[in-house]
Amino acid sequence: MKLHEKQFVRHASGHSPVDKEGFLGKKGEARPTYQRRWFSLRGNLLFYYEKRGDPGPLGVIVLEGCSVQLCESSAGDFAFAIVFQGPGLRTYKLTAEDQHEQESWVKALLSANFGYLQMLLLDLERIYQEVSGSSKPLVLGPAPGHALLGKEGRGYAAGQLQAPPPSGKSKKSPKLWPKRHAQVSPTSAETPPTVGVVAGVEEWSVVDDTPLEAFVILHSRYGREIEEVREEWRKKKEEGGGENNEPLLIDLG
Amino acid sequence: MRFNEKELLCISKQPSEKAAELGMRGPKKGDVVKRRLVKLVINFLFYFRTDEEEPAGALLLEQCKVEQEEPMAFSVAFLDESEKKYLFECESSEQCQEWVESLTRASYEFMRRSLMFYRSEIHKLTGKDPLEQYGISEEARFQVSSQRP
Repeated sequence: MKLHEKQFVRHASGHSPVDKEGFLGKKGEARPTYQRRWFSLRGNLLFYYEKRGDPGPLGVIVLEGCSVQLCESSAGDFAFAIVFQGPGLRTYKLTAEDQHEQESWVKALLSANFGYLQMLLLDLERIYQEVSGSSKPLVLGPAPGHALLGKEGRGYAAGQLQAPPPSGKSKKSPKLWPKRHAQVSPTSAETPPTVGVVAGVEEWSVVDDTPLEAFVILHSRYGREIEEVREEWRKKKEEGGGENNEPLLIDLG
Repeated sequence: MRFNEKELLCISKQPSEKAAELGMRGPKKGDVVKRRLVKLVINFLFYFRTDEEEPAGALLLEQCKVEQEEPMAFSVAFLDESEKKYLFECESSEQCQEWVESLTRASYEFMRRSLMFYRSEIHKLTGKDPLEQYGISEEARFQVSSQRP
């Protein structure tokens, strides 16, 4: 399949700030060694460069249909993985420089996919309609039966998003609805074996139709996963002698 | 540039509301119109040769301009190469308009801008930041300063 590399290079090297960037260790596909690479996250694309400041990326990872998991680390290497489930699909193993960065990357990568943004957008649209006093009911949210959020929980099925009736809206709000079926879910139905400390992979039942609930559920789920992960780390630290008493860096409230 | 091709192939197989057989012409001089199954999934425009399971290629729909050309065709051009256009011929003007609309909204950047719009409007109306309840107000991608072209 041909990918027009220029488009990616252009996108990667835009002048605007990226969503997140930093050094990570990346394990080679076949080799057991980790290489230090400069990573740059823009939207649902994770670019990596041989060296920071290189004009063009060495590669890109499209972050759709994948899960992000913390890994059992030996020698405190703050490892995590981007897992694509399915026959012949790859797992990218990465290591961060410290716990803060590890958590920060996992959080960023978990919410990098389109589905997450679509849910958020649905939610804001609904709130906007409420506060701007529009009384016309909106045709929003995933259609019944389409609200499945990927069995493994990472992939999103944003379902059939329909545009709200144009006549009901104030002049201010543009018609901003993506009108496509952006259903991306992990291809395999099997759950991978857990590798040490792993963010929970839960099974989703059909989410309620209302977009707000869908997003709130999603969001609290991410928060919960990160909480679980933090708990694990806390326990591990305690078991390991508890020398480090620094306060938790991410406050999820 | 390496990319996760197998994973992208999986994405290309996802169901899509926007998929149709269109006439497609590449941007280079001498490129001719060929029938392709064109399919929009997330921010990728995949194109398949008829009856092939795997796409011949994919266009990344970021920093691109989608315009209607003549009554029944639309073009996709990228920001720094605006003369180089990919042309798509539709069956009807209506179909063409639908594609232009869908592709314009397909980018991550478009979604981000929409989010920023609503965030700002809600804040104006209520004095509250709707992203705060999710704890994501400080994320770089939602900052006004990161307005991208």
